[in-house]
Amino acid sequence: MTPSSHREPPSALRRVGLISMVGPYVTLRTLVPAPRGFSIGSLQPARALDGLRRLGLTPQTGADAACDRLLLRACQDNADVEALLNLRCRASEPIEQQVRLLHGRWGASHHLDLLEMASRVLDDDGRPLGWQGAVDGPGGHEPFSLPVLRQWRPELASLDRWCRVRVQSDPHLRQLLLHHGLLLIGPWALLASASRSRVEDAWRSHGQGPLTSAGAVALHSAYRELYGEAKARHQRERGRSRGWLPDQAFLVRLRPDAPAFATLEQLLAIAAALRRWRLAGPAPEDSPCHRTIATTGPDEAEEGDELSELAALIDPALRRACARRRGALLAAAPGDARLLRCLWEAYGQGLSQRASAERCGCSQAMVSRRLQLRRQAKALATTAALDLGRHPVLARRLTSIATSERFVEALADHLLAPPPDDPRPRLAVWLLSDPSGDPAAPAEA
Amino acid sequence: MHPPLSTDDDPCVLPLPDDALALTDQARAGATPRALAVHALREHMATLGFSLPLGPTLALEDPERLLLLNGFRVQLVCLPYGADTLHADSAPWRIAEHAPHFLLAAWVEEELGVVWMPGVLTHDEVIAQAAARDRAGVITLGVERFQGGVDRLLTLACLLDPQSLSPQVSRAGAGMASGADALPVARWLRGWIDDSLLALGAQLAPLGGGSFRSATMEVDHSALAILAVPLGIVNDVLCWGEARAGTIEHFQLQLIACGDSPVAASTLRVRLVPRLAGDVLPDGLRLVAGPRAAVSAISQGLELDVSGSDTPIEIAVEWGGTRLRLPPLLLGPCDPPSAPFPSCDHTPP
Repeated sequence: MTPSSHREPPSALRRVGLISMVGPYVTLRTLVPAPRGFSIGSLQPARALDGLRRLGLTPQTGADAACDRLLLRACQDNADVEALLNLRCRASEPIEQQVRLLHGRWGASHHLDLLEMASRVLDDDGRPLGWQGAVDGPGGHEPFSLPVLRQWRPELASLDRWCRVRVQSDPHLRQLLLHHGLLLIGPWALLASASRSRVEDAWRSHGQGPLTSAGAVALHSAYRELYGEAKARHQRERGRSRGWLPDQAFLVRLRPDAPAFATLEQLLAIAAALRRWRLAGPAPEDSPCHRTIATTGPDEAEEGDELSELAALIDPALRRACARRRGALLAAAPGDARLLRCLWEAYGQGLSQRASAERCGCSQAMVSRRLQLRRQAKALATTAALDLGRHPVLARRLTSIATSERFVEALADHLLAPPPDDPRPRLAVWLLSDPSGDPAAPAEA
Repeated sequence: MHPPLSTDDDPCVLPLPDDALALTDQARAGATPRALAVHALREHMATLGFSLPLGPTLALEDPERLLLLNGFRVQLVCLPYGADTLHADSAPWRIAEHAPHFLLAAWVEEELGVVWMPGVLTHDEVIAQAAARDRAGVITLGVERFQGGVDRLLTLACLLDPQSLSPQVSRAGAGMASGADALPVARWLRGWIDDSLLALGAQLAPLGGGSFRSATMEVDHSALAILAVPLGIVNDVLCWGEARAGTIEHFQLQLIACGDSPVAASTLRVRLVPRLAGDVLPDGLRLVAGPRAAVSAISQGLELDVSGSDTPIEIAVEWGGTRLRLPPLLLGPCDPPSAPFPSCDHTPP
């Protein structure tokens, strides 16, 4: 094995430079040491070359479905360690592509670290491994690609597609994305969650492939019918719900008259249409319910006037709510209490999100996710509204859903806006630095 | 040959809303979607500083039960994360005065324990939007109709009085309910009380009157199950459920399932008795039941028997201008078939 560690070359260089002189069956894309830590780079395991030569292939052999199948048979029939190494090299490329795709789309907005993502799935060091696991005995590291290859059924999907789908289903990567506020939904769950009408709409506007709209709906309906049962069986047998994948029997049962791989492709095409529909779908603000709720409240001008007249009651009520909540808010979430306290203190000092993130050592997105200012303001506004509701002038405002909701929204807006004499929002002032908000202090008139 | 790799393989990634929760490994170990959603609801309350009572304590995770949040009946429906359509059992909506106050939608991703609640619809919003969408006992609604997240539920449950959202008693159908609407008495024999009865404060009493004063609970040897509904009168108004707190006059409506078979009641004995030994019922209190049931006075109250009928039994207690009308009950061994959703009458009689 000759590790050739280097900084990650731009994709164009990879194609035309040194690495392109050897093909995907002998080039392992993985994390390699770099002058400062690690980077995604290439290894060329020596035994990978031996394996190809033994099968009569050259190191320059390009990715090819027939070659993939030949190597898989050698692994399955003869436990061929070199052939498996060739397949591990081959699988590393689509795995890398999928990680880069995810990072390219969401990395900047959600502060994803490419290397951290890659470490979950590009973890192969190129050591020879047996088909059933590590050669150096049980407990040895099993790279992500090994079970992916063991479960690959070429009659169902190409190796590229299989690897990409499996990256999407990887629980470790999903957990990492979740930590950054992203939920990765695999195609099977996406299909299961969609309704018939959604599939019809999605396929009509975004479907690509030979299926008709009716055909897509029929295939999806059949899928949903069998999915629950198959998932339940999977859970019974494995003791967990994750990791279910449609097998040949499932696909044949779904459409007995079609080849399994064609059915799988069509299901993935429907999932792709659903995904595109979701990206281009109508904003929730357009929904009829939102309009109904938003238009049933009293006139805004009238409400604004009334609020200003009642300011003498409102501010003390909000201050009392803030004071009562202060202790619990700073003590919440024991796992990251220090971060939360730091963020609240930064907010109390009127720092921007960026400045708060820098001071507390987290991403800007994390600031908003942890503080949840609007939600907290609404909760405090609700507490204050309950208090204010006892006042005869206000009691009548809280007798209907629409007025109650609008009143709370107005109070929350008031809380998030700065008072005339301070650039900081009232919430920041009253929650964190206003001594008059002490619950023990007498309420203001 | 397989199709070439394309950008269509982009994974579906959903940015999580700020109010989505990723539950801990411990919370999600072996948990059902409903249990995850209930756990998330509790976490939201803790995060936002709402300490509202949440029940029913012993059946929180039973998907067939309504949640009781600060006195509000909440139908919780869990969906796969990203689902666009909600299908809710319409059974709880059949009897207007016991229907849920809110319908809460929860997206649940079981594998990672992620829960997000897109929002809540009030009773009237459900009725307005679902009436034409009911099929075979299921209310179907687009998830995009649910707005406000869990915060809307908590705000309304905190601020409003359940009575202000309750479908009015007068809205209940004046005619005899169909068999499909009736609640089987046989369920009590299995320890099950329907939510509409629970909302009235009903609870199963030990056979033989163990925890009750002997004067008000005469031992009935043919009794298979006893359901007791505490009642009271305050300001000349008949009260039950949570509204009963603070009442001075206390009495009980006892529903005693009697029969020879341990799985099916053949007779329903209905008693209205004072809560304490030596008390008498307030003058003017009336017990009304149908069909074919004559009320007789017993030593300390009123009693009637309804036997062997396959017609739903209607029971009401009247005091002055107020009336408690129980959901129709049915004798016999098994649950009746489901009825279509709009069977509850939402037009004034």
